[in-house]
Amino acid sequence: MLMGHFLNKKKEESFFNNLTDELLIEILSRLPTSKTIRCKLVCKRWFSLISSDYFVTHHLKDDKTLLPFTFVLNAKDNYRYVLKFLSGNGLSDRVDLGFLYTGRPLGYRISLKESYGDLILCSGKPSSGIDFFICNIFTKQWIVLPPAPLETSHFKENEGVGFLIEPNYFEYLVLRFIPLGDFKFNIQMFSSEQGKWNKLVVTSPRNLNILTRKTRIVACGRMLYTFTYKRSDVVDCVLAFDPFTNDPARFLCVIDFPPEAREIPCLTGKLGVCQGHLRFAQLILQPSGYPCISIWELEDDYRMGNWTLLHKRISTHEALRVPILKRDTKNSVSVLAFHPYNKDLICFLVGKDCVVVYNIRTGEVESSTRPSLFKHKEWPRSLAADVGSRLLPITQNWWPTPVRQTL
Amino acid sequence: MASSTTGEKKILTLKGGDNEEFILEESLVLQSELLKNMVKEERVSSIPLPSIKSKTLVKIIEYLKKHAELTPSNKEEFKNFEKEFVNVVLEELLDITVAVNYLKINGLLEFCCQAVADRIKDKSVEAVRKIFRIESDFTPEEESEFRKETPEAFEGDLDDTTN
Repeated sequence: MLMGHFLNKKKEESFFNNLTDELLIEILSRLPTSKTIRCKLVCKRWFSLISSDYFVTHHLKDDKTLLPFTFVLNAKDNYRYVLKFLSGNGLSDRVDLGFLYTGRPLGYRISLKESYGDLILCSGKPSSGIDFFICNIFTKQWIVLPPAPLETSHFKENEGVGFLIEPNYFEYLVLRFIPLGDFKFNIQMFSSEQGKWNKLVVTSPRNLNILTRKTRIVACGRMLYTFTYKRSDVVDCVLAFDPFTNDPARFLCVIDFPPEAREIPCLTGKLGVCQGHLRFAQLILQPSGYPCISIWELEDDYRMGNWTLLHKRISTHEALRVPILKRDTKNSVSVLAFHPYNKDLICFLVGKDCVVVYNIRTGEVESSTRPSLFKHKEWPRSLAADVGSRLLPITQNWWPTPVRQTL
Repeated sequence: MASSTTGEKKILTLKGGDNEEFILEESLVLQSELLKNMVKEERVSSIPLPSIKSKTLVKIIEYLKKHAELTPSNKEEFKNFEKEFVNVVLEELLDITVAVNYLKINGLLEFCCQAVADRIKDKSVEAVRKIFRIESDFTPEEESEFRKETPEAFEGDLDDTTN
């Protein structure tokens, strides 16, 4: 085994053979940044190590709260690629998903659906069902789930997909939410433990107003959350799904938003996760004509439905220090993500292309960049308008999450 | 194979690269994730470590002993010991770091990596190559272009020694 392999090495060679990439990164990541640049010139191996994402993020590993926000989105011009960019320096690159297409027929399209940690969930549609892929874009490890059966629904546009990993048992869970009407929906659920898709029909105690606005399904801990609107500009409640419960009565739980969020017309709402807690950000229009934001966090026992107000009515116009034309205010600011590890940082998209990281504790703008991918010449103008809603946050882990079949 | 015991304490033999044997209490090696797994799962009483020089092994065992004696009251003393521990020629420090990485002694690994980084941070590119026994595979053109692009990285007095 390991020992045998080790024994066979000649003594003189052992030093080089055991100076692995991981160990080199451990050493080089402890150099000040300016010194690592010089070390790139040592040899090509060092050059590529120091230039890798792996190194860049490891460089900051001692303080995860300093990690840049990282997002992925479909490159609409070419489904083979996923675009990835970082806040802070705005660096972006294209991740080739060509490996997922091996053996697939011509015209097969794989699109990005959801993210969880450093993993992404993609779907591809053959005629007999829907393929779901779980993939780590950093390691290029991936698996494909058995095709999900096709469902007929009149509300195709309002289908949602949720995705999470049960951390203790490393079980994948993919949940498709298919509305059948305002009070009824189908859930198709795949768990890697069972290795198959199960279907259940759920009746909601609350009107889902499904045609109002589409919202994402967010994974937080062992739960999946989404929220509904009462009207196009008034939020209603959070739907909390417990996919691991055996009790059908506990599968869906309705959590009301705090009254001050429910009773006010808003521009948009956003659910996200920070330090393992569910957060809700709401943008409302002030009488001055500029948007402002309030942020709540759901307390641990979600069934109690207690929200803590973290920040009340920050005027984004002043806070983000980015000039916003009054006539575009409606679409001018959106929340992209909460920082996964730093409770103070929120990432905004301002205007069409400015990514601003704002610290809600100090009131400072931490970084403000215009990622080059927004200027991509292949990027159609019409899509640039709703780019904010299609960005998925991902994390960069020192140990990338392995992707393996656990069937 | 069961471990030999004297009284309550289990004894373990480590064999260094030059077949030199080191006998120590099993509890000491539990700080190494690698050895811990071997001892727990395979119940061995003697572990050959042919790639680790005896000289290096002596140092590591010395650390394990000191670390096992660490209490809140002798923290300062331990810190001084750590400082002295890495105060060896670079070649030896790298041998220790590689061995510690192999043995998976996490706390010590971080300390060694930091020590290596501190020692090479002001070295010239040529010196770093010598220390790590690396031949450059850049062409002279590539190298001069790189230096031209990032002149700030090559400013100041750089240390050409390899110690």
